[in-house]
Amino acid sequence: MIINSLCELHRNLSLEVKKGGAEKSKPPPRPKNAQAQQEKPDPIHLQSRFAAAPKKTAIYLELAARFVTNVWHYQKEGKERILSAAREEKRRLVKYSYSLIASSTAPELVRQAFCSAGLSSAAGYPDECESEMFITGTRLAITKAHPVVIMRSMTAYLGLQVFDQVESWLLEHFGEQGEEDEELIIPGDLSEILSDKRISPGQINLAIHMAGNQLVAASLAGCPRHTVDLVKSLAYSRLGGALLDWNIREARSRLSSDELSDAQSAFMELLGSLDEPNPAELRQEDWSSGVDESLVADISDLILELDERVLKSVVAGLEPALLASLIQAMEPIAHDRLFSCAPSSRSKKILNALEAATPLSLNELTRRAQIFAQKVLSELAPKTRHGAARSLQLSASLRQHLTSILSRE
Amino acid sequence: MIMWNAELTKRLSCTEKEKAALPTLVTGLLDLADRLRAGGIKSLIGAESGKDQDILAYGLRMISEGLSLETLEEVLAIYLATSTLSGYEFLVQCIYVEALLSIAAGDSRDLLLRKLAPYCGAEKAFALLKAQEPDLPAELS
Repeated sequence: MIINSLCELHRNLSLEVKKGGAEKSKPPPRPKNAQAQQEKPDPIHLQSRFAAAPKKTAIYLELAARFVTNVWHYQKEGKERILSAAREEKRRLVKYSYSLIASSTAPELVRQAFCSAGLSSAAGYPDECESEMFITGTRLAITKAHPVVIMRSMTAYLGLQVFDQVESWLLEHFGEQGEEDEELIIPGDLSEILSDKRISPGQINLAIHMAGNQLVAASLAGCPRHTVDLVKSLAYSRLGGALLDWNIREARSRLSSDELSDAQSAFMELLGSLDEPNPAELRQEDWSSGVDESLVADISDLILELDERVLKSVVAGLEPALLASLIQAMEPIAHDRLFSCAPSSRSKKILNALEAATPLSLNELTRRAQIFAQKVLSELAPKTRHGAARSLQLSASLRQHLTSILSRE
Repeated sequence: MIMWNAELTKRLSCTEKEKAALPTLVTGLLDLADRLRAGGIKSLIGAESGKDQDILAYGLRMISEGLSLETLEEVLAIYLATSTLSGYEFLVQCIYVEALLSIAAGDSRDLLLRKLAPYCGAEKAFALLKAQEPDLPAELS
């Protein structure tokens, strides 16, 4: 709940008096890019009280970027890197941050440590924005957070005005990995399920949000590259994709094959649970169970057994609304066949009609099925006067389905 | 447990007249979450362009960056706490953020409604719940 986080921040920030380099009256910083300056984007409604003049903002951003880069090197190469950065650093606040990271201070004690060293606004440090940025950054660095997370958190104090600028910097530094990871394939159905067009992007997104980063990364760690790319294209920005790759790499190095396989199963179960019908769908199912099953079987079999050319002509010659109402009385496999015989524009019309359709009574459905059957017969009938004299050449089963539908009352 | 802070309470306070607009705002956010459930996060990015909806637009982008729920909450809380807004405008931004967090957690429509409705105040919250869920027992009022 956001209120709790806000309470904590309100306790830590001295909100009455503006300190640091920020001045409310000064204009928000603009991107350096000249073209972006000319475009003059709409002013941000949610202004930060720390929003500063461009020069000051640039200094904050440069400090954060330098800090995050050094933390990244430390995470990859070890403690010596952060100690070396601390030795070279001239700014007291930043130097102190590095020393806390190197000594692995407990994250919950970071604020207190800054306060004891006189480096927080509560202890009289003059630049509250800078101090808060580094308290946040140091705490996250100690918890081994990814640099993207650290940079986003630190620069949040500067407001949304720098969001795009920060994104560009992050993409430049963390958007691409050097070389592509080798695939690790754990046998399972997840890859196939995710590629199944019947699962909507919304369902995949929802499952990702419900599962959380750790489970998503562990599930995808054993999937082929194309599956990971598919998920990225559906639910992640470019930067998010890079972060996902990083999490997958972490999962591969941390977890055994069995654990990755378990993660896949858990994610599949989650996806499957989203398929469970909602109450409205259940009501629809109740209605469906009242449909004459033999009528459903006859219509479905007729569609499945018809010659493709004939079915295409029938579909082209009937109203989308009639086809949509018939869909309510056929098996899913017949839906697929019917749609595969309709051009995409017509499929769209049928789907629109289906959305607007209301459940029909058995009599109304039977009537529509009979119109469909008559249309099939007219398509099958010889078109020449010569041929009209001959009897229809129909397979026994087709004849049986047509008779069964047309003889209903 | 819900924490309490006098300064924050003061900052969030606004008139009953102003609060009258909140149920409509919440309904709009429920619709937004419905659209996300149907088309995924990418279908919404760039769609929210209202004058006061920066946090919503940027928040959706942060969700697509794959930030964890904890990080998202921390970052969004910083944006809110350090903002220059107060009163009704601030309350609206808090509701947007609460909705973003609920979306990022994959909450159901019902849960989202129950997280947002309390921001409208007790009476309006019940009226909102009742409007969204007509089957709600009357004795809850």
